[in-house]
Amino acid sequence: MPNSKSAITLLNSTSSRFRFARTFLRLFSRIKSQRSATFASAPPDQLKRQSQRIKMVAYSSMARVAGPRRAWARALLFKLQTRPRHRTLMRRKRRPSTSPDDQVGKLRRLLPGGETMDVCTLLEETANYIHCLSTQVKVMKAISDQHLSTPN
Amino acid sequence: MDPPLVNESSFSAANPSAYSLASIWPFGGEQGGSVLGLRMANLAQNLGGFRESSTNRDGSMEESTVTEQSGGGRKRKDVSSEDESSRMVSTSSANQLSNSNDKRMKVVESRDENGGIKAEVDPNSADGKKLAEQSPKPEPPKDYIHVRARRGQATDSHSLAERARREKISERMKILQDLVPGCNKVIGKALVLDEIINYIQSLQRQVEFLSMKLEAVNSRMSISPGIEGFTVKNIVNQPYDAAGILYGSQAARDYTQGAQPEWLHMQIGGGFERTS
Repeated sequence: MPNSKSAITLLNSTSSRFRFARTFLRLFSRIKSQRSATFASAPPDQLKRQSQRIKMVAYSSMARVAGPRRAWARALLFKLQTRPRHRTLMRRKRRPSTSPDDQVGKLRRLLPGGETMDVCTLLEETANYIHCLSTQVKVMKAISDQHLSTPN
Repeated sequence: MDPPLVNESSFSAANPSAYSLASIWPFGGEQGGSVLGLRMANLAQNLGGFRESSTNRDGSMEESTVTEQSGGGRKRKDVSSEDESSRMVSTSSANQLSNSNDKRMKVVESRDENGGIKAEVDPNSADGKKLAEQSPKPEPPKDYIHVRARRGQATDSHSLAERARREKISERMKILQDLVPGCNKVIGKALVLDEIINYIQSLQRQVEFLSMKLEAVNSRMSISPGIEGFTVKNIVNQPYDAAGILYGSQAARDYTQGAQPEWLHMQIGGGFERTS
């Protein structure tokens, strides 16, 4: 019985990794096609902007895989999809976090959308966020390793 | 038991409003001769009422039966005062005291619990529907926070709720400790939270670093079509044990078979609802 249970969790983790990889590569190929269209003149600061874009893609694919049921995923997608000026306008209306200095306040600022959660929800969402983030890191590491190992 | 049943069927055929008696009768069988006499008196009263007042027969008839039979029910209730049925009677009487119909049902219920012959009641009585919807009323499974105060702990509701919240938080902390590597040895909530924060920051930095790395890789091998085709399979096949590889290859096959149009749709629609 424990064997089957561990196998089930392993399958789940594998399938979630698969979904992460699929979503990430889909978005990644999209920005790659955009970029290859404007590849001829690439100034050096474009590199940084491009890596920023890849980071955004990584986060948004992570949030999409996590689904709309997760509060952090919703907040992250909202943050990525809205423009910065609009975002500051929206943020002004939010209530300030009750404990700005201790660890819970730090965690609130670290987790997307964590400013408005209570502590129980914050911890639960943090657990899910850590899981998704580590999976995303594994996926990205695997992709980059693979590209480095097979240069063409 | 047999004569009441016969009487009941004939009587209900004759009198359409006689279900009150019909529902009560089977219980009288166990009480012996005195109650049998009582029942005969009831029958006589009912028949008389039926003959005399055809317009207001429901009121007078049922009043008489209720007074008689509820007297019998009270006796039974006093004998077994700590029974489950006594509570049931009290609740139902508190709810609907004025309705004579429900009074009759009260008697039926109390006797039913005492005698334990419910199987005969339900098909016979015309009130079976109402009885069935009243019988689960006394003990519904309520939604309350299941907290038990130990010895010396406060028992008012605020303390109980606060204790439940703390237990929930500590449970979540335990889950997080299992998730973050090297966090099991740390003792203390603040230190655990520190570890968690550090881990999240390191992961976010890793994402940043890896995106830069991917950008470098991507710019170096600028135009290379077909990156997706083999990459997904290789990534998924990377887990080190056999089960993961098995499932990964299977999932990759599924993906190559039929997932393409769905992707397209997800790209168009933003993909927020589709990727659950």
